[in-house]
Amino acid sequence: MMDVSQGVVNEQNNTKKSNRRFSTLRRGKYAAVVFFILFLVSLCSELIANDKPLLISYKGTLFFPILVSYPETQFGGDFDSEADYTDPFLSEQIAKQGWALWPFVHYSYSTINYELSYPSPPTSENWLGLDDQGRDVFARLLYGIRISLGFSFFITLNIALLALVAGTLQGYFGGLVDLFGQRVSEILGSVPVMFVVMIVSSLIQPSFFTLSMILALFGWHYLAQLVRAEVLRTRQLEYIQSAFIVGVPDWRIIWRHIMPNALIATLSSLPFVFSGALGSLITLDFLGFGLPAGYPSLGELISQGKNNLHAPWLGLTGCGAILLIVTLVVLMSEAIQEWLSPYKDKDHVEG
Amino acid sequence: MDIQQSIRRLLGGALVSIAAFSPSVLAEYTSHGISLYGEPKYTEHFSHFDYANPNAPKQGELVMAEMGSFDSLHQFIDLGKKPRGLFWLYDRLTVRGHDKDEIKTRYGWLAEKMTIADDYSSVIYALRKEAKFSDGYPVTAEDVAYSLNLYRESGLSNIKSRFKMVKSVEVIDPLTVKINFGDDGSRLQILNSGNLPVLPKHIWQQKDFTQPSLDIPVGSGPYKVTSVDPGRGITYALRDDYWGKNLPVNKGKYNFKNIKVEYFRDRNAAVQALKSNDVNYIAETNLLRWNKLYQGDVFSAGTVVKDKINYDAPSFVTAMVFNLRQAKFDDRRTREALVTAFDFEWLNKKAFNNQYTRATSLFNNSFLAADGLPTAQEKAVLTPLSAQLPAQVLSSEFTLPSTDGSGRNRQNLLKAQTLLKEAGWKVKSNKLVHSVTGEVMTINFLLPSPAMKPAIGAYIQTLKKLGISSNITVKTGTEYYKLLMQRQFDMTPSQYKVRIPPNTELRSSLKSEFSGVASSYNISGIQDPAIDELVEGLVQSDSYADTQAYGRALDRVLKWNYYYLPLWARNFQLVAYQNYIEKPLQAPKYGYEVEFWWDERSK
Amino acid sequence: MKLNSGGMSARSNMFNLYFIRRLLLVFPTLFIIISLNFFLLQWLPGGPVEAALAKQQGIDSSANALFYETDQITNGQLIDDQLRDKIAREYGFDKPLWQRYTETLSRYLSFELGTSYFSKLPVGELIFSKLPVSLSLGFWTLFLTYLIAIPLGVMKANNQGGMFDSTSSLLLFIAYAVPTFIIAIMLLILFSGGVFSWFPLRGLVSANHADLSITGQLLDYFWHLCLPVAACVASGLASLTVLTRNSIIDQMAQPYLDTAICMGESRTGAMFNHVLPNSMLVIVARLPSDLLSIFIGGTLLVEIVFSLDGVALLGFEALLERDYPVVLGILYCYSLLGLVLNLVGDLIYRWVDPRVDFSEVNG
Repeated sequence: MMDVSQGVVNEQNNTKKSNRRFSTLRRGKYAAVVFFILFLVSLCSELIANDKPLLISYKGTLFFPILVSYPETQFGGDFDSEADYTDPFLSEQIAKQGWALWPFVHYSYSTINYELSYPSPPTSENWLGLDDQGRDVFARLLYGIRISLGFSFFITLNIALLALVAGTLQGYFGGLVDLFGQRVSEILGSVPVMFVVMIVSSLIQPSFFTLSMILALFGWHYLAQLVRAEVLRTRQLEYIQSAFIVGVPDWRIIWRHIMPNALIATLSSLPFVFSGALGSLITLDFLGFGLPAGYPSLGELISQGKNNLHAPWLGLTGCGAILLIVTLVVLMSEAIQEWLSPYKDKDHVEG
Repeated sequence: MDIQQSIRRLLGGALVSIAAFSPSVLAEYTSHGISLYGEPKYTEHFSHFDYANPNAPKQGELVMAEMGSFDSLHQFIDLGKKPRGLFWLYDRLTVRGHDKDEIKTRYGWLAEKMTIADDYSSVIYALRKEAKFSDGYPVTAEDVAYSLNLYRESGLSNIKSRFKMVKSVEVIDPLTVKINFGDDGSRLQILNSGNLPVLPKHIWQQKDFTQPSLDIPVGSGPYKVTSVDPGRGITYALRDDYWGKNLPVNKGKYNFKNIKVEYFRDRNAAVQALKSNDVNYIAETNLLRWNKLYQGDVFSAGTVVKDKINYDAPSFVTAMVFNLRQAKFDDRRTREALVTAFDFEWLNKKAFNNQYTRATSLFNNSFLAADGLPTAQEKAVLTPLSAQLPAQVLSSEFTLPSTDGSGRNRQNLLKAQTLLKEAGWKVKSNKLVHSVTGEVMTINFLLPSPAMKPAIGAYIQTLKKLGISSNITVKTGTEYYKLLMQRQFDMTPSQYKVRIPPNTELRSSLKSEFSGVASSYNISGIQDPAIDELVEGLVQSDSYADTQAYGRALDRVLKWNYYYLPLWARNFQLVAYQNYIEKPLQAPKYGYEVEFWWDERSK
Repeated sequence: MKLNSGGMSARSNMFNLYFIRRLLLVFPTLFIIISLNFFLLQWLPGGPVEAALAKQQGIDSSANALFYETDQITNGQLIDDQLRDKIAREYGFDKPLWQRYTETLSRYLSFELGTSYFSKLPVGELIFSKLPVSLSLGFWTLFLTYLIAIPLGVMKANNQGGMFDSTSSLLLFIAYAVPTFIIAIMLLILFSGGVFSWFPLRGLVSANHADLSITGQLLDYFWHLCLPVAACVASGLASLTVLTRNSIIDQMAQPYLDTAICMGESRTGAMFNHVLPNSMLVIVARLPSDLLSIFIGGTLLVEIVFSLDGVALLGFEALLERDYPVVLGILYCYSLLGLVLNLVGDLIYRWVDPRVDFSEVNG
């Protein structure tokens, strides 16, 4: 059923619309809550999945292995290096002379299960099984989510700043500035990021920081295009044109009128930038050009999944986690869009 | 053929080779074959090899799965990626005998007879007059000389090096060709010279030998190429008019009417194609994959056979080598500690289903591998060098530490900790620090592919207990090669397979003078005068007994110096095929050859 | 962006000037892109010479090595300097950098792609031989995307603000935001050997393709393309669908529609006569950038995951093997295509919505 007179902008009095608006906002709120719980949980990974007890009482003294590293000799062992609390020898020593309080999962992201052959399917001990190097998939997932989210936040922030500045300048000043800016983004768009990452990864071991910087540097132009288009559009608006005529200084017009609009345009596509950044990291890890080996990375989990089709839980876990994060992000972005809709008149999806 | 007899023959060989140094009335001798030590097993008019089935039906097809792709059919130069099986297009002068009691023997194939000068300075091949190329031209001495010169000028590097010692080649008459080695001649050189695929001169005169090409090559061999789909597949068909099909060396060989080689970019896809009978043969190299990927109804029902074929030849040995150019590995006890900390039994159980055996020596499963105490001959070799050797070499038997397979390896780790302390290392706040130099022990593992990670992951956890922090660098292809050449690693896996007889490649792997050469295989940078002496002695010895004495002595010195961490030895080939593919009862010594297999399906 | 559905013959002098200027700009941009790529390649650790030497010593540098163990047994070959120099000469690496650079540049300016280092085949021919795969993937993806997105967009516009609209939006956005190759891997694990084995794992056609009937061949082809195309379509669907939906809603809000209906046209008629054609303009304007994103964007990893032997995979493997002419050639073609499509897209954009202007602000 089509209602021809139905517009887009002026429908605050339309109940159906406002109902949908309400439910979208509510969904977004829940998604945000879940997302931040997930993030907080992954921030506390060490307290949830770890190969060190939270608390040990040994011969009447309390120890905090998570905070302080104790040599094995402290507990009647033989090694001067940090105690390996998963070692049966040590558990017996501690059980004889005291007790230990463990986290939910007795595995950190690099702890190996010595009992089972690998990759092993999920068991009660290892909720998501073991990967092809005998490590607990659940712990790797938890720590991996933390890295991925932190990484994506960081990139998103950088990209937003770069794009906002570049796009606004381009759109506002037009002419030569715009021409130059457009060429820069054309060129950046044509440089295969994979190259750059490969080069950097072989010159230095790419750290969290360098990798995110590179990706931000080569990823801002899409968003800048969007900002630019938005600025071009707002520049045409009558009150801004009249501001020119009255002679309001440029910086002021930009700051007071253009920026807020651009910000709104940027804000609603930030979730997609975020998921794009997540995608880049995972892609690079998948191909082995990403974070150094040993980092708990979702990309590595997925590449293990591809190489071990007989162990579908590896790939499905990795893909499922990404799907979950992305779904939450999309729900949040819908809510943001909806919340902004009085200020603008349609959704944006960058191509 | 029992062992005693073979030993007698081998000893006879030793005598013959010793006799070669005494002035002899025999200036040369003519034979149908040549063996490195002693006489060939098969006499001149044998009917067929023992590992061939002379009654194998000539029918059906073999569809092999291969990985990767190809873009050139020109097999004899370095450029281009070539498909598998091109060697079926060509005949060689001689063919290698693979019987279980032959160490290295070749029998005439294109050549009916070879005449060997007693100082090994030359060999004369008399060609069979019936040999023809697939286009009808006869194979002549001209072709042989032409081919040999092409290889020497612009052939594949490894073919080039095979004929490096050739001084000249003369065409005596259309069916007789003489290859001269001058002073560099040896039995081995002559043996190697027979391994020469003969190319048609009349074709190559009009073509550029140095460029890759997709033209269908012309040879005189048993198969011809019938269709090519670059990068995806190639089909060979058995030639009805092959001139050599009734030769004794070819009896029961080349039984498939067609051989297709299908290219896959992905192992999973290849195995799936095997399950659906789109291909009927896959050779697998990775035991992890073998255990995990080759599973399903077709395997349990027996329609596809998973065959683990053991062979009795020097094994593929995978070992982690230390970068000895680093001061931290200077002390032998440090290296011993690192070797002691490795828990092979656990890894073998968990990751490999107990299918590997521990490599005990670089010369695993060959007569060069040492066991027990040194023999009198070994002592004779070792005693002059004793000042430069660890004391245990002459006095004790070497054994690698073994574990209970629990993965915890506590006893060995305690031993390793003691050794490290003796070598001057101390744990300070979780780091292993050298008490004199103050250097912190960290180990950077360089791996050529992610597939090695499972084997090293657990070792890294173990090393933590000794206070050693380590990291893995996985680089592939060119980047790995570059890091390897620049020696930017602390430990890296490498594969060895000793050749019988040990030849020059052993020099570039172990001798001091090569430790500084970027492209040499002395990756670990061994610089040890005793080893230099022994390698030289081994390469130059030409009797079985001498080779054995030097080989075993060298093996001992390498082991007691803990120059490498031996991981596993592979003495088997893994191959999965449809159950209508049959193989002869007796396998050749050096691994199966699919040319002797056949297709049981009746038309 | 609002659509002005009035007369749109904005073929003024301004426009021509703009067009010519943009056309002229293609060349310097292309020049900078080639230069950038050239110098980036020089920075890669280990060049073609090392790659060739690694091959000599039996080290596999193909993409297989990234994912699988290769049975590397080096043949104990020593590489002497003579050989190194010979190989360097062969690839022109004995010349100084600037000379190689100018040679490369002049080659590309005359649209000459050169020959591959390792297979010695002309790069153009190599790319051409891989085109069927990439084109198949791209074409069917594009076709299906448009086939699904436009009706879906219309349906969503009709259901604006309803349950169907919001749910489908959500799903579309999720599919859009998940990296294409993740979808590809999920499909692979679920349907191609992990959980179910319904679809093949390799390439465009089966090994026995030649023996099949015409129908069988077609079926075989689509059976192989099913999963990769599904993965690509899932990613590309969202933007086009939302665009269609929004432009239809936009058009429906235009006053002229009310006028048309007042003049007795039926709603459906109005929809087909006015709304859809006008919306289509916007959608057509999107075509170039869609083409670009499909052919260049997500296909590499999909090709890797499904072992499709296409142009992207060729480029990736060439990069790993340091076969510079092939890498540069592919990038050059992509860039040229990208620039041209960008230009066309911008022109259509301006033509559809003449209010967007790029003149300077007099401030």
